[in-house]
Amino acid sequence: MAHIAGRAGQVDAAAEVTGIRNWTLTYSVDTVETTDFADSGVATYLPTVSRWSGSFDGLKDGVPLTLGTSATPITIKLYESQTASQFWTGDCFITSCDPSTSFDGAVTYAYNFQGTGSLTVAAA
Amino acid sequence: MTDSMNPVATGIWNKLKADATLMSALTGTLTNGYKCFHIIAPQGTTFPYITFGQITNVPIGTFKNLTAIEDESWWFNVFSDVGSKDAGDILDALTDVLDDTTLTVTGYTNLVCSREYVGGIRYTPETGTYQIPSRYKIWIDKN
Repeated sequence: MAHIAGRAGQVDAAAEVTGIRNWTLTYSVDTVETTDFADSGVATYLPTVSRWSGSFDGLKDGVPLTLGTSATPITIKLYESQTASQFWTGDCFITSCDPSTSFDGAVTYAYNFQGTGSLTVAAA
Repeated sequence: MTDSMNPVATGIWNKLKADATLMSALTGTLTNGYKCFHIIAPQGTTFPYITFGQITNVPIGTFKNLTAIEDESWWFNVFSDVGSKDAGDILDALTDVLDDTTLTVTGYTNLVCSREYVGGIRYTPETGTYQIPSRYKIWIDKN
């Protein structure tokens, strides 16, 4: 099993976002409880819809991204490395931008996004 | 040693020697190296003088650039053989020059130059000298 260093990551939100240091993606599926008397006190569930969302952050390097206030999503690519297909991609809306400044630090931007539609999973 | 050490040292030296108040306190001139020395004063240098050097260099990286910002710590020592007040006066002149200043560093843009601390004064009986250490945080952005 090949391990991958994260330092060659990248985030594209329509275009490459420079200054980024981290990204996180949550890809999950909702469940509905189906426990009944026949389950003898052990809970059971069934999967329903999947969803995905996440965040990325880093140093300010240019103007901040525009929030996704229109109905048209942007394509996001979350690169694990620079190896072909080793990224997660789908359409999303940028739902928040959190700029931060401290007197003894650098100006940083943090973003949250909400995926819409299917998510293409990264290659091995 | 990092690529930035010598340019930052030169930027500090240029900033110190350009300040008339500090040079007056140190009696610094071209012939005596402006009494500001990187790491160590040359043998025979008369007091007072200042030495300085790099402690650490920690790059702040991004995906695109692993060394987007260089976060550096630099030490400074003020030496005087007159007394603690004289050493303190020179320290005041030094901090007036360096606190929140912008250094000119070849190949880089200076983002931060801020004082982290001033240490306690130290007297060395063998040499009759007073020493005051201090430390600065210097951030530089590669052009």
